[in-house]
Amino acid sequence: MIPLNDDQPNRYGSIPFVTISLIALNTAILFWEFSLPFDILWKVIWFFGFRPSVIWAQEGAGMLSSITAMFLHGGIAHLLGNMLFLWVFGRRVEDACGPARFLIFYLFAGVCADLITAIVQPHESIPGIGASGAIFGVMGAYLILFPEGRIRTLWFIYFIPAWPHIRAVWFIFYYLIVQIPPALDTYLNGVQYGIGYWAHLGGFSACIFILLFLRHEAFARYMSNVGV
Amino acid sequence: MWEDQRIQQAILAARAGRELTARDMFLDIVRDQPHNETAWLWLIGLLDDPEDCIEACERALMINPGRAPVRERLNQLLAEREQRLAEERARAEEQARTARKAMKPDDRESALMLARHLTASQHAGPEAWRFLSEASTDINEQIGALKKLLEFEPGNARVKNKVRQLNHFIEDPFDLASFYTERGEREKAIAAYQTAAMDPRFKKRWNEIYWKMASLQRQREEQIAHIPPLVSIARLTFAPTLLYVALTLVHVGVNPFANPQPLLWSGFFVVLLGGFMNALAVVRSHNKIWAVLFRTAAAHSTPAMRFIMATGGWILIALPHILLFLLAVMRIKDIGSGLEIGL
Repeated sequence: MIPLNDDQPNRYGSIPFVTISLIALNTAILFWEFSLPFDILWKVIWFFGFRPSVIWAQEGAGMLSSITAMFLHGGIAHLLGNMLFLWVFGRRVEDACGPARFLIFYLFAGVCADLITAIVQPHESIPGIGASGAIFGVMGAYLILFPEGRIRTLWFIYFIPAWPHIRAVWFIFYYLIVQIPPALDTYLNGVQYGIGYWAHLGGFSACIFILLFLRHEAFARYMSNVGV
Repeated sequence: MWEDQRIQQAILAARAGRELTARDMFLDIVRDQPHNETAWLWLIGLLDDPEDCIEACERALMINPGRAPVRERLNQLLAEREQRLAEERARAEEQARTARKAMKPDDRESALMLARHLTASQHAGPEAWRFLSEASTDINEQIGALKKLLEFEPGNARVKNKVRQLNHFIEDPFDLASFYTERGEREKAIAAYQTAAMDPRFKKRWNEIYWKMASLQRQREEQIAHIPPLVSIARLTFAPTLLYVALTLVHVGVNPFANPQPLLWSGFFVVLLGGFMNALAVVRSHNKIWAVLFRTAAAHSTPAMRFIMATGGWILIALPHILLFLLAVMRIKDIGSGLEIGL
């Protein structure tokens, strides 16, 4: 089940400038990563990825690694998956917040993802990279702001593609729930999955603050229960 | 001789207890002989209305200023009148105060009628005029009421500012509309935009007026609640601080108590101030702060002022983040010098 788009128009008519810029920037950085020799790329990821053990020791790039890790990706599939989700869910959230506040929220969700990872896995020394924590925050914000929202998704039923509209709530809940068992497994048994499940949950938790970032009118609409 | 007889008859009537007849007779006499002291003296005792009594005393004293008992009576009457007026004024003021407090936004008509009734009285005091200024929707009536209020309270800076603001709104209905919008008074805001649309000075802003009116009408149809500007300012003030706090927590190694860094945490307040300035620029078009900072007549903001405020806010928000960034870069340079990654 792959999200394709949300075909509802923007209410405030703003171009999703930040969403597009983030997609462009992440893509450009991935191409820059491809241009680096492997040993240098490894050092870049080691240094600018988010390593909880280094953060606790107050070494490494500190807060900078929390930001830089958000823009590094491990490959085309990693980037495509994240950017697709960012496009589907980020556009309308940005419209409701306005570009500047949406950017702050996006970064905040990414840093929250890292903070939760650092708290739950303080001894983890493998660098975490990717925008998924921030994007889970955006998905959570979408869930709060557009509970009635429907997105077009791509399904393959016995290799036959179908693209039904489904309630975004079910889609987001599905992606949220599938994070929980491996996250618990990581926490309780120390199993390494190579995916930042706690970062996803941490990023998602940032969505509880989304109302602080909304436009004046969007907030009034939300409080009046008439759709942001 | 004839006049003496009339006086005698009037005195006899008064002594016989026919006071009304006597009063009328004396009144006839003073109409024919305005300088008849005896008639005026008798009238002082016969007239019921204190105001008429005062006039009789004054007329008697004009004829003979040396009559001490009449002067005493006049002083007594004047003191009584002053007390009576004070009581009536206090009663009217109390009524106005109570009505002002009980005034409901959805029942302004009856409040306005009462306010007009109270201010029509000669005993109308400052509370009545204040009540009228708040109950009225007509700017000219509000200005009139506030000017009357200023006669009672000439040093009231708030009222003076309000008069200046209302005069500004007469000049600029567009600004008045945004003022009403901010207060959630959509009907008045739409009416003000309609006034602005008819003003040739705002011809270039027709498009903007159209969109603003359409937005207000949509909000009215969808029954969107009015959110007080204070709520939005608080919301938007705290939003940027969240990112700063999260970044600082990461930078100090998650535990702020184990590694206290006062300089970094003091940045929180700078971001908070920046967030406030930014929120103010976005949310409030009318606020005392505009008057204090930019000395505007009606405590209103212009697009230029808002731009300055918003830019200042963003700069303040950015500064602590830049400090944080520089500290991170310094740490990288210390540790990463041997990693040959171009830092």
